[in-house]
Formats: sequence, structure tokens, C-alpha cells
Amino acid sequence: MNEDVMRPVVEELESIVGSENVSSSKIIRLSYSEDASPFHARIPGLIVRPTETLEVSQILRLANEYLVPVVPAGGRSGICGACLPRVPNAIVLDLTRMDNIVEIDEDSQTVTVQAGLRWAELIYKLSKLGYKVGFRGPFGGNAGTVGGSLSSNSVGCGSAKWGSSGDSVVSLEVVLPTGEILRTGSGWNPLAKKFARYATFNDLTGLFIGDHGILGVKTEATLKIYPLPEGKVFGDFGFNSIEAASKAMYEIQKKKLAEELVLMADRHTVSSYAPQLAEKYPEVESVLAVIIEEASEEIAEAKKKLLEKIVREHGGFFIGTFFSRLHWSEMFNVVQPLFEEGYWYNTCHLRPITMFPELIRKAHEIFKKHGVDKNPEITWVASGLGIDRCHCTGWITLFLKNPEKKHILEKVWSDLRKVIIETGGVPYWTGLLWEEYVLPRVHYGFFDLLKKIKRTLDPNNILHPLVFGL
Amino acid sequence: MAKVEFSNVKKFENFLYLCGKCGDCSLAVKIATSKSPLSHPCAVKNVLGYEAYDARGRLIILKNLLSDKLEVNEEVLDWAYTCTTCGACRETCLAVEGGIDTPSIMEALRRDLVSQGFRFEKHLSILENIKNLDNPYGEPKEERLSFLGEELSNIPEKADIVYFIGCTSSYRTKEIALAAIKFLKQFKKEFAVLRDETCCGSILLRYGYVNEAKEQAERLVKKLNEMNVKTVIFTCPGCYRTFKKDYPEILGRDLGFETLHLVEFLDTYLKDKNIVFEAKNDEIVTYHDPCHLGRHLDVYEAPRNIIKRIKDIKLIEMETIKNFAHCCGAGGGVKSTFPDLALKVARNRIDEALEVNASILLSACPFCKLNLKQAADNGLKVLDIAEFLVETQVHEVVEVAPKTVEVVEISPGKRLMDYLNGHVEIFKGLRVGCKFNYEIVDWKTQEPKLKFYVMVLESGERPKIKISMGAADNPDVTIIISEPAAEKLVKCEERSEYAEAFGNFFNEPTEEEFIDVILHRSTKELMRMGYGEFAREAGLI
Repeated sequence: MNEDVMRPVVEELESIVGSENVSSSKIIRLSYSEDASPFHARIPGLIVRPTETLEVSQILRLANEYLVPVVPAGGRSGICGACLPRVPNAIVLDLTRMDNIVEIDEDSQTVTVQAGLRWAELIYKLSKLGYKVGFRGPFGGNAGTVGGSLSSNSVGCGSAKWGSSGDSVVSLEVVLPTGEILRTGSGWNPLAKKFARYATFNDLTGLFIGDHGILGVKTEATLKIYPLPEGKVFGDFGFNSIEAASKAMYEIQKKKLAEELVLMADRHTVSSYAPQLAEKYPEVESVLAVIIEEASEEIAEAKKKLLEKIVREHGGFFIGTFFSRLHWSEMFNVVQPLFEEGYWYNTCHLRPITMFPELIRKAHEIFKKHGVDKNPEITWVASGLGIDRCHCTGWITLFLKNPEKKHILEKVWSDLRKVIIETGGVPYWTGLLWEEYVLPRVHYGFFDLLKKIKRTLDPNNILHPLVFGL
Repeated sequence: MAKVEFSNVKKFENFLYLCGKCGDCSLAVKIATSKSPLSHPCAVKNVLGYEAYDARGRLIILKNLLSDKLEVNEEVLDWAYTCTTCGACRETCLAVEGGIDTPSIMEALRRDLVSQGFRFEKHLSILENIKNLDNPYGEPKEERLSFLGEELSNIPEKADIVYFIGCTSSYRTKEIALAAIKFLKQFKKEFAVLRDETCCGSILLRYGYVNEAKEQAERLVKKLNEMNVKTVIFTCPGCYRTFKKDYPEILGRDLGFETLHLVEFLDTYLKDKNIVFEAKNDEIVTYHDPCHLGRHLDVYEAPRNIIKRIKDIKLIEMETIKNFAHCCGAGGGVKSTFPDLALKVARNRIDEALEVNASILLSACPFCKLNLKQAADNGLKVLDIAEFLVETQVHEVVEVAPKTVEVVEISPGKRLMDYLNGHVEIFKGLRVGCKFNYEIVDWKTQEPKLKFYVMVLESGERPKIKISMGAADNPDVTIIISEPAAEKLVKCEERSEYAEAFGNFFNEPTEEEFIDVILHRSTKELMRMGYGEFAREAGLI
């Protein structure tokens, strides 16, 4: 970076956020050059740590004046490289200091938080007051922030009933790339509470959800809250085929029975997660772990009966409650123990539940083609999560034990991503993980509109340049 | 700058690769989501703010150093010494068994830097002080024991037990040493104090000067062996960790004597005795776990047991405790290298104590005490446990005669404890060293009525176990059982029946009869430890 050019920028940034919250130190910049994905960023030029919306606004105005790119970042626990700068010398906005609960509005049953608040912290603070959020955060919700999830269409804990991260939002406060501050939903009226998303105008909230930080910096989000449940039921169910498990999953979701619904999709996955269980039930190919949470024990029990009926009708059987309970009591801690298998490479996407078995079949063909099924240095976990109604995540995660086998892994990884798109899957987040596979297939009209919106809102292309190829 | 060979860091290269960069090491709050007293674990990052100072950032930077994308300069040198090596990141990390050991990796880096000439001026003067004056503070060595005055003549030069005072309590926190000596004498233990005690070399190891520390270790251990010492007691967890963990490693041999912290000695001594302490005033106290005593040596319960023995004192725990307690900021050479940083970290810990309305913050480490006291400019009293015992219970410790036997109804918890003692086959399959807590709770209030823990001493068909009251230090699992469920468990005649009942209470809990399990390790790790066998038989997995 040319220091003479940047000096006035640094000085002005320091006057906005304080000198201790602006850094051009090389080691500090390097520490922001990676996130939880296998991808690498162009090394940022500056790291800036604001605490308030107004500071973000001033920073973006300054960036426009000096034409310096800006990349917003949260807990950087995402696995698609969404917050990694694509251009050199960008300002990375580390938003994790913006982590306050702004307001709990019991009248509207909403919580307004700063965008840098981590999900696990939000859950803790709300639980002390007897509340929960519906969508609880991605599986990396210890470090994942509300803003980061909303920017990347996260799905995760609670998605079976409450949908993806964006479905919980009532209103957003966004700083536009040119520095103006916008409030969406009923927030358009400064005299109104932020209680309704779809009100008066079209849904501007949706414009910013999933934007990967290219259309604005989310500074506050107002989310729906609910009283903590009185009734909880856990259940793990074994199935002799992925087809049977998927059909049961579809029926459970159709009837909206589960708060959370996890599918261990193939026997290899069941053996990886639970070798003892795989040994005990040699016939089990897939496992469904179901969590029911309701306002009363009676409702939860009634739903449990319906759940058990569906499971029976599809040839499934009860195998305990350990996994569903563990999944819920160790929320946000279930993925990390898998890191021991080697570095992880993901294929996160969405698809209708009915199309899940096809994915598993095709994945097994790819594993066979590249000899992965016989190569202990590359392993996989195939799982899914019920989302909203009748779609689910497709999670085939590869683990590379031996970096020398990366060339094989790259082929498998690439083939999987191609097949996922070809079989009608859509990634929820995009980032460096998916752009290469997604962008060539985007319908012209869709992409053209996105381009026009980006140009209108960000005439100098300040905010996270090159994302989505823009 | 010259090229640096990272031979020590390279021993950990695999761990740099296995870090999944999830960010838990600094950003996690696991209080509600996994019932762990953990919140923003990296005390240094909580002050300095940037990613470079937490474990994830440090591992990213180390990868850049190893691949020559970053060269060593003053900035890197400064950064290398900003880690207190407290180990909170390691406790939080679930990526590998026991967590990625970033503190050891940072110490490896320091060894590489030191061995290739990258040294702090400040450190060199401390090195000189230790070499010439036997203490890092630059104090006259002949004055090391002068604080004892005439008392010294009453303390033997030789005994089976040696109290190792340490440099900090010899020169800076003499009150802790005086308190320790009072209790050791009071409990009629004959003990000695080394007349020519020297620095243990802890600070040298933390800075990366291994060879110099080894010289200290050799000299001290030789002397203690020549004296045929059986036990060395410490009040400084820094010295204690250095003796217990570092010395066997750098000397390549067993020390030939037992090492104990004073709180362990007192806790063990008091266990079977009716000794009560009486405080001057009703006070709310809280306890800060020193990293070297807690995370590094797994001593969590002994200090708490002692505090709970003091009448009229209420122990209220802070938000982060035990293996997830925030560091005070003084360790790992940070206090001497970056005193302002150490103080800011301590202020955050003081705030945690104030949040629970404590009027006294207790610890069991002279280094923690000094740093926390310096930061507590708001009326909070900061004391070492030993000192607190001396200061607040001015009444003599009273030996109470054993009570006459009362007829008391045996609680369901106690019955389960007795039952487990007689049915050790329940623990078949568990590895030696497994330890797990039981909490027998009131089914209505969910309040614990009895806490005990089991340790596996020998594995086998009928394993040898030890059941003790209270909670284990760093347990693998906590099993919560309602009293009605415990009542039914004790009626089971054999393991299979017990396992089935256990599984039913877990899988099909009722309002009154239930079992819950809190895991303190990953399921993979627990499987390796042998917990899978019972879990499978019980139908948990």
C-alpha cells in the first residue's frame, strides 16, 4: 500500500473510531486474511473496528472520497469465504465490537441487536429474560454474528421450524455504500416501532439479506422473539434406507412438527458420528434426530405422537435420544470435533427433501470414481437439515487428512459442486465456494438487475468489490 | 532481517493445519448453549481487540511465518510476547483432543526467536538478575528471607516437607508467605524453608530461555534430592507449574518428590477433620482461578472447598470460572513485558468480580494478586486465600470434638453413592483416569442435594474406583439424576438392569424421574476414554 496515499485516510479514520481501532500493522492485517473457509483473501490494507452506526456511515463516506474499497466482516466463521477481500488493500470493517442488544420490545416481541452480536451470546442474554429467537444461528454460531448470517443467507439451528436467518428479521438498519442510513420494514416511519417487515412499501429488507455485504453494511437487525418453551421432546430414529428417511423427513416437515431436524444421510456418516450406534444397528443406513419445542408439554407430547406415527409408517424405529439431545445441548459445538479428520471442504446448499436421495447416490458415484471410498486420507460426512417447510440443506463435507492428497480432494469437491447445481440444488451462501459454479448459470435478467441495483447503490463500487463478479 | 529457523514451532505444524478457524477461541459464549462458564475466552484479545491476538489469528500468522510470507521484525517480536499463555483458548477448542495447544506453540516460537538472537532488552536484565541475584526483581539475594525476621530461626533447614516460597512472595507479597508458614506450623507439620532458595526459572521458560531455566532446575532439584525431601509445597502456582510440569520435561526425569500447592495441602489435611474457620464479617467473596493452578494443573476444587469451610462467607462464582476462567493478565511474561496490557486485562477480571457484588476477590497466586490488586482501584479487596484465612478468621482454628452419632435418614444421593461403591462392574470399560461428577437433584427445584464424583483407578471387569464427595477437578462428564430416579437405580441388581433403567430415565424422562448428562469433552474423546460401552448398553447411543 502506498503510505503517502493512505496517511490522510488513516488519520481521518482515527478521528472517527479512535487510533486504537485502526490498524495497518502487517500481522494484524494478515490475521484477517483468512476465515473458516479454505480460501485466502487479498491482504487487507487496514482493519477498522467501529462501534456505532454513525461511525460506519462516516467510514463509508470517507471510503468514497478516497475510493478505497471496504469489506464488512463479522465473526469470520463462515465457510464460503464471504468476508474475504478480493481486491488488495481494502479496509476490513471488523464489526464484532458492535455487539450490543439495543432494545427488547416486549409489546412487539422483538429484539433489536447490533449486527456484530454473536448468536450464542444473544441466546444467552435472551434466555436470562425468558426468551428465545426462532432461527438460533448457523452451526458456527459461537463466533458467527447476526449481521454475517443475514448477509450470507445462513441456515442452521432452529431452521426446521423457523426457516433461514432472513425469515426471522422484522427490520434492518443498513448503512448504504455511500454512507446514508436506512431503516427497513415499519422502521421507515421514525414514529413507529420496528414490528412489521411487510408494511406500506415493498420489502426492502430482502434486498440486503443474502447480499454478501455488497449493497450495504448491516448495523442493526430487529428479530422476532418467543417465550422459552415449556415442552421439549427429543428423538433419534433409525432407517434402513436414505429414501425412507427422506420420506419421513418430508412428512415431518409438511406437518411442521420439529423445531430442528437433522439427517445423518449415509452409513458412512452414521459410523463417523456414532461408531457404537452403527455397530449396534448394522441395518441402519440413515438417522433422523428430531427436536420438538412447544409452548406446553401437552402440545409437545401431541406432536411427539404424530412424529412417532410418521416414523413407523416409513419403517423407522426409535434408537434413543442421545444425538438429538447432544445436538441441542451442545448447540454450535457439533462441527468442531470433526476438524480432527483434517481440513474441511464444504458443499453447503439447499434442495427439496425429495431430491436428497439423488444427491447421496450421485455423491457415492463420485466417491467411487475418484477412489475416495477406499482412500482413508480423505473422508466425508453427508448430512442434511430440515429448512422451513419441505426443503433441506445438502451438506457433504470432505475432510482432507493428508494435504498431499489435495489434488484428489479438489477433483471430488469440484465434481460434487457441479452435480449439486446440475441436479437443481441452490447454494444458500455463495462466496468463493460457489461463484465459479453459480455465475455461469445465472439467468441474464436476474444478473442484470442485480448489477443495476449495485451500480445505483454503490456508484464507486466501494463495497466488497468483485463479489458475484461485480 | 535474517531468516529464522522455526524448528520448535515446526513440531506443532500439524496443529496449524487442523485449526478449523471457527473463531471460538475468542468469540464464543457457551453459557446458555452448552452450560459452560465460558465467555470470550481470550483475555488478551478482549483488550487488544484485533484477531492477531487470539489463537485463530496467531495460528494464521504462524503459518505466514513458516511459509516466509512474513519475516520476523520488531512487530512480530512484540506480538510473540503478548500472549499470557493462559490456555483458555485451548480449553475452548474442540478441534483436537485436549484442544490446539496455542500457548505451547507460542512458547515454541519464543524459543525459536531467543535462540536466534531476537531478544527484548527488558528480558535480558531479568535474565541477569536471576543469574546474579537469584531473583528476577533485582533485589539483593541476601535479603530473600529477611521478611521472616526471627521467625526464620524457628523453621528447620531440613525436613521431609519444604515450603518453596518463590521470588514474588519473598520480595513482593511477603504476607502470603507469612500466612502459609502460619498454617503449616498450626497444623503441626514439620517443614523447612531453603536457606539458599533461588528463582525456579518459570519466567525464563515463559520468555523462551530454556537452557538458562534448565540450569535453575538442575540446581534446585539436586539440592532437594540431596536433602531427601519428600514433598515441596508452593504458594506460587508459577513455581508449582514449573516444578510439576516443566522440570520433568526439561530434565528428562522424575523429580523424586511430590509437589503440592498450599490449597491442596490444606484441603487434604482438613478433609477428615472438624475444623471450622470463623470470619470477622459476613462477606461475599469470589474466587479467581490462577491459570497455572487451574488450567495448567487442574486444581479447581481445593481452593473452593477451603473457602466453603469459612463460616459466614458466601462464595459467589463469577461468570467465567474454573477451566474457562479469564486470565488476570500477568502470566506468560506479559506483566514484565507489557505492564499496561496486563493491567487492562486485570481490570476486566475485576469487573467480573464486581458484577457478582463480591467485596473480596480471592486467589491462590501471588502474581495474580499483585496484578488484580493494582487493577482494583474501586474498593474491591484482593487477597490470597492463605492471607484471607489469617486476616478474617482471627479466632483460633477450633478443633471440634467429633459429634455424637445422630440418627439421620440416608438421602437417595448417599444411597446411590454406596450402591455404586458396591457395584463397580457398572464402570467396566472405562480407562484409568476417567473422572465424572454426579449431581443428585431435587426433582421439583432441580437444585443439587448431593454432589460426588467417581475416579477410575484401575480398569477391568471390576474396576477399582474412588468415590469422593464434591466435584472433580476437570471432569469428563456430569451426570444429573433426580432423587426419585436415584431411588430406583439403587434397586437394580446387576449392571444390565442398571444400564437399562439409566437409559430409560435419560431417553424417556418424566417430571420426577430423569437423568441428564453434561459432556465436558467431545463425544469422540469420550468414546476413546471408554464411555461408549455403558452408553451403548444403556441405549444412549
